[in-house]
This record gives sequence, structure tokens and C-alpha cells, in this order.
Amino acid sequence: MITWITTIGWSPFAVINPIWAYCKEYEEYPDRIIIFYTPYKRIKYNLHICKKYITEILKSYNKKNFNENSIEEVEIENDNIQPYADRLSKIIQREKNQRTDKIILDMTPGRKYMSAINVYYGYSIAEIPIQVYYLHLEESKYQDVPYPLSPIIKNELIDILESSEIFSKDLEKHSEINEEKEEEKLEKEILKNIKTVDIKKDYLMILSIKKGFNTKTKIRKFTFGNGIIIRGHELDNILKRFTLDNLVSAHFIRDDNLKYKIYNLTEKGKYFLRDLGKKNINGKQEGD
Amino acid sequence: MGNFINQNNAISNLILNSNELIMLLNELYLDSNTRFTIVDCLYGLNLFNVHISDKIEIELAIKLNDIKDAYNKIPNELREEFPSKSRFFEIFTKSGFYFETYEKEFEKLIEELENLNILEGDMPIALFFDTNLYYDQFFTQLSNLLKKKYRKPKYPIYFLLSEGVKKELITYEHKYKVDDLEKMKENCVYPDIIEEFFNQNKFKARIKHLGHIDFLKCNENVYSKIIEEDESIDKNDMDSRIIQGLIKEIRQQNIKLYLYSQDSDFIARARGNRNLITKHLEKIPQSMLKNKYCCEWELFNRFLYNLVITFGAIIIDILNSPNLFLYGIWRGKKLNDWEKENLKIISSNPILKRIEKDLSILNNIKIEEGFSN
Repeated sequence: MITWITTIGWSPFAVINPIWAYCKEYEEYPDRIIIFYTPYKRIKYNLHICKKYITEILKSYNKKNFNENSIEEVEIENDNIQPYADRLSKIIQREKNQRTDKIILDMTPGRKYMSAINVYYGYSIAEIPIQVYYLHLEESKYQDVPYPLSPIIKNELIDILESSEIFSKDLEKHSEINEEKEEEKLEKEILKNIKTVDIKKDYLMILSIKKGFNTKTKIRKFTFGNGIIIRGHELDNILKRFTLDNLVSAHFIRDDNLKYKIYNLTEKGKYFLRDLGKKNINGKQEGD
Repeated sequence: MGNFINQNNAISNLILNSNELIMLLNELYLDSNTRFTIVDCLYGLNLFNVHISDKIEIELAIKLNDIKDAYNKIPNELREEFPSKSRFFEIFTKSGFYFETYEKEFEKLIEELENLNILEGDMPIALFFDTNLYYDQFFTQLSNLLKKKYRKPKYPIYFLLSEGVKKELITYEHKYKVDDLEKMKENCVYPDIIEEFFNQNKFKARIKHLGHIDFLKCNENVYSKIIEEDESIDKNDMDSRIIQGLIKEIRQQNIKLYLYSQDSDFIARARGNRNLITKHLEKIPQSMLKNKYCCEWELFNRFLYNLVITFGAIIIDILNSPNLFLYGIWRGKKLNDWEKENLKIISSNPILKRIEKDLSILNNIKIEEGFSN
């Protein structure tokens, strides 16, 4: 069972859209929604809107396991950090006791202190998987637009804990690799010779997986370090294509309370990388 | 071209309005089908290669002369139902690819409107669009600018709308009958698709519908008044009837009117009247057609909508995935579908089921609460 915890703020779609994005883009759906709200007229109205949408979304995506009782409302005092932290802590404890498979804390809506507390709990509780999500919106004009009606490329649901944790670990790993071998010179030359951006992206992503930068965030970091920015959805798309083409295989691993999707290179993927390298070395260029 | 029918999936269909076409692009993107070709259902030409990315890239797969050649091959008596090269180019102008040409003019006007102080004796300002501007979807294009500035309608500008203009826009009664379709089928690559056009608007009527909807959008989204044309003038001289109607209104309300038109004759006739300022908007020449366009997703939606209405139907040809058939007219299309700017999509592509899922969520909310998102 997945429990999703969120907070009502000024914008209903900041509450609704992360749930919608999660259902659309991941193959699992929340079974219970816990909504924190403050007793203000506007917030209560937004709560009403959010409940309508969330009910429809989860009735549609998670038919069997969701009914209107699956939404729990938690009223808290406004502008007071302590009550939020206390209530959240108790609810996490209760969910742990109920053997919930995973808790998702959504830090997109609500006050900044709520987001900070969410991240704190996400890091500090180890007995149960907790993910903290943030729906990053590239343009504010979509803030009041339902998720499916805004260009998917302008929204990105980010696993904050996974992103930040791996970023710090990788810096060291990356620098170790940098000290290594002639191999890197060769890779740089190959990269220089590849002129098409799409092929450059393919090469860098396969290379990053080979080198052990094998989660979405790690891959992104590796490609960024090599001067190519690949955004979330595009990265997903390329990884999906690699999986379909049997260049990479994907599986989940758990590390303490965090859950990662790991990609490994298949034999075909290794061959693909070698082949691309051969085509673009010693003055040759792709298409030669 | 890819398959019409994927044997593993049943064919389904759904109706999407022009804003909801974003859902189609989203699902194509999520499926990694970011490159596709658009084929028209009248000539059967590969018109564009499209790439979905941060922005949408449209590469023309044909030249204007290819449209001209295809048009010239159509028997004379049927040509009215086939877009000429100028109609083809108009798809781009209607969709807003060239609105930047006029943008400064309208930005200046909005600034003037914002600086108006009626309490200090400034004269209120109204705007007027001639019929041809509605055909060209000018209000829809202008509303993008207004949306950026004011976020939501009603936008704080005042329009005078003319009954005379409305009369010109609503003459869209011509519909395809069995005989029309039989003749067309003989000259089209996809006769099965043409079959779906039964009892639906002919080409010119479709273009008029587009104009009328733009007129209605204007009426809904700004402060406006529909005024009578001057009925004392000969019925055949609609331009004078419209202009005289406007002059009367200017006097009655004591306002200043900016009159916009692409028709130089209309502008010439309207000139020389107190508080009536004429603004001639030059038509974009066909020579401005580019080989490649790059646009926001929303603009592509408009483009797709205008394209489908112009050709009646198009095919989105996706490599290794079932094609999508988009209909601008189909058996049973109603006035409501025109007003909502609906298109019908038929395909065995599984993305239709996924769109349907999200669409049903949005529709259930709308039905229950009447939310206007």
C-alpha cells in the first residue's frame, strides 16, 4: 500500500498535478491520500476542489483500491511549525505500524517550512521507504492548468531525496574516474567527433551506464558534466527506447529507506557502444 | 506509411477540442514517438515532418508548387473542395506563425488603453475587426497577447462587433451530399475517409465556420457590443452598411474607434470620419512561407486544428506505431463541435485509451462542478 501525504495551499493544482503526474508516469498508484490543511475559507475551498480531482484521478487509475474514504483530512493550525511537525511525525509512525509499503511526501504545495520538514523526515526515517517528490514547473503560466493539459515537457516530477543524495556521492566518484586512464581521452575524442546532438546523447548515456552512473539522476549528472543537458522526460524517453531496443535492462534496488531504479548495460548495449566508438574515432565521423 | 489498423488493438475514437490536443502530443512524447509525418487526406501528400521537443519543429515536406500541381490535377468542378496553395499558406497565418508582424501595433494599442483616464476627459477607445480578420482567426491570435498580459478573460478591452460582419460569417449552409462525395472519392487517395464527410460542411463553409467561431470568441472574451449595420443603404453594399453603422455608434457613445482590416478598399471607404481611425494590416505574402517552423506546443495545436479543418481530415503517420486519423468533419458533427473546436481522432493506437482516461477525469469534474479549466 502506498500512502501519499500532501498539504493544501493557495493553488489546488500544486496538490492535484503531482498525484496525476505520478499515476501517469509510474506504474504504481497511491492507495491512501492524507491531506493537511489549515482552517481558512480559501484553503477549505481548495481542499474541496482537490478532493474532487484526486478522487476522480485515483478512481480512474487505481480502481480497485480507492474509494472516497481513502482520503484523510488533517486540520492543523496555521503559521505554526510545531503542530505540523508533530502531526506529520505521528502519521508517519501510524503508517509504519500499519505496514504501509511506501510513504510519499509531496513538497510541491504548502509553506516552505512544511517542505523542509518533509525533507527532514524523508532523510531521517529509515524503517520504511519514504520518497519526497516535487513537481517542478518550468513556466508559471501552467500553474493553474490540469497536468494532462500542459506540455509534459514543462513539468517534471522529481524524487528530491534520490536526486540530492546521488549528486553528492557522484562528485567524488566522478573525480576518481577523471584521474583514470587513457580511455577517457579516447571517449572525449569520440564525443568530439559525433556531430549530431541526438547521437551524442545516446553515446553519453550508454557510456554513463557502463561507468556505473546507472540511475536516472546519475546519468543526468554524467551527461551534464560532459556539456549535454538532458531533461527528465527526454531522459525517460531515451531510457525507454534503450530498454525496448534491449541495450539496457532496468531493475529496482532498495538502499535503507530509498528505492532506486538501476540500469545495466546488456551485451547488445556494450556492442552498440563499441560500434559507435569505432565509427567516430581516428578522424572518422558518424555516417562514414 | 505505417498501418491504419494494428491487429492487436481494436480501433477506437475520441473527440478532443483544440486545447486538449496537448494530451495527444503528451502521449506521443511519453511513447517516444516524437517524430511523425502529417499526410493530408485529399491530395494524399506528405505535408510535414514534425518533431516534438521543447518546442515543436515543423519541416515542410512539400513546396507550394506541389500543392498547386496537385490542385491543377483536380477536375474544375471539384476544385472548390480542395485547398489551393494560397489556402494552404493561410493555415500558417491563421495559426499565428506571422502574428509577430502585427504584434507591435497591438502592444502599442494596449499601452494606449492602459494609459486612458476617462475621469480626466480621455475619450473611451473601442476596436473593430473587419470580416476577413475573423476568417484569419485574428482574435484568437490577439487573445494570446491578451492572455500573456491579463492571464484570463474577460480582457479589459472594448470591441464593437457588427451584425453585418456576422451575416457575412454565418453563410455556411453548404454540405456534402452523396453525389458530391462520390465525385470526390474518385479523385482522392483515401475514399474511405471521404465517406465520413457525409452531410458535413463543404470547404468554403468550413472556412466561414472558423471565422464565425473567432467572432464568437471575441464576443465572449472581451467587453463588446453588437451593433446594427445601416439598413437604409443598399443590401448589396455591405461594406457601407457596416461603416455607417459604426459611425452612428461612435457618435452615440462618443468614443474613438480603431478599425482594423486587411482589405484596402474597406479601409479607403472608412477613412475621413471623425474619431474613426483606420488601420490597414498588410496581408502576409505567400513568398514568406518557410521550409521550417519552430513553435510552442499551444501554437502547434492551433496549426493542427486549422490544418484538419482545411483538409477535412489528416493522417499522423508514426513509424512502428498505428497511425492516427484526425477528422475536422465527420458524420454526426454538430454545431456544438464547431463551437468547442472539436476534432475526432480514430486509431488503433493505444494512446487513445490513455487520453480517454485523463479526459474522463476532466469531464467528470466539469459535469459535477462546472469548473472551467
